[in-house]
Amino acid sequence: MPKADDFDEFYATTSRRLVGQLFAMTGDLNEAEDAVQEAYIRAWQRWPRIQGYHDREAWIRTVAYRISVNAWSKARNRLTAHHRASRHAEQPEISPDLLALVSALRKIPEPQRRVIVLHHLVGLSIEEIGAETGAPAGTVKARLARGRKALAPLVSDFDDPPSSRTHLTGQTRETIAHA
Amino acid sequence: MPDSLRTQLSGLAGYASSNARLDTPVALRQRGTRRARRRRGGAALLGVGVAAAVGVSTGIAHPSVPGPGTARAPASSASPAQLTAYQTTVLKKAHVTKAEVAALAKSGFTTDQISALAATTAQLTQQDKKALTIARTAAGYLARYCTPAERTALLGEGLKSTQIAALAKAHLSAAQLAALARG
Repeated sequence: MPKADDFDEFYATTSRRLVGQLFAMTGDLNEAEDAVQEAYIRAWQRWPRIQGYHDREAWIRTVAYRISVNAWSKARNRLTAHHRASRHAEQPEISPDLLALVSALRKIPEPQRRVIVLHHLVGLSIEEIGAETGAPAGTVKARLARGRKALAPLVSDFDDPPSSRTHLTGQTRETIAHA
Repeated sequence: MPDSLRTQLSGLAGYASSNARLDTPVALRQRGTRRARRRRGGAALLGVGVAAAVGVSTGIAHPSVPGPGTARAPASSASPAQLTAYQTTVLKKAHVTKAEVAALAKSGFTTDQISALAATTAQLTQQDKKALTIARTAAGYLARYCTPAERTALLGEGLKSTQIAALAKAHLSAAQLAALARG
């Protein structure tokens, strides 16, 4: 019988962080929640093995990402998410800046979005991203560069007044483009 | 690394983290355990059901076929012994005959083996999409349950991959087959 305490502790310390990362990758909070939870369920079914992994969080993140991009799972998750969303109270308002960022991220291809999140949010190196995504370092670099390039003009499309764009000034856009 | 992008992404992740509505770990563990139990139970039921079905419907006694206990299942109209429309259609469509099922019983095949065989034959022929679906579902069983000799024996009976797939797909329960045997 796998140790439930270990699992519970692991879940308590990592689940919300992973939802945040998945949300940045998918652009849909409900979908991210469902994918992450499903990944934890699968982890529990293999817990004796996964428990010994060096980076269990990466395993969950990878599985959750695969679940979220899988077409069938996507459809199912959307349905579940829809049900959940209709059951629960309304989500707190997302700020215009974050909304614009989500929208911009959703416009770039999934593989690019994934490496951007892994690099800039999770803080993984090119090699680590390569190991997690199964892509060669050159591909990771290319996706990163293309993703940033694609993101730069998209984040400039703001409708809100400039005063509220604390993060997305012209200088920021330039930084993103040239990073 | 641009700090601004990191900051913005962190803000996004922070929003998600603080607003995520997650189940408790206990609930997730229970779901995982229930799912695993269902899978194990389903596989066992499939195995017992088809094996018993093969034995009972053909009237052939075989040591590997669990018969008596399951064969006494009552066959009332409301009982689960009746074949569903789906099962009937699946078997009818595949033209599975009693003689063919008898061949399976003689060889002492279990449902797992039938599923495995469905997988192999479908993968070999690559013709039947339905069988291929079964094949994918049953993948992994073959290596564990089916010997090459058994496979040859079964294929020698002339069963088509679609028929084998239908047997695996019908998921007949012991009660259903007992009822069938009683006519």
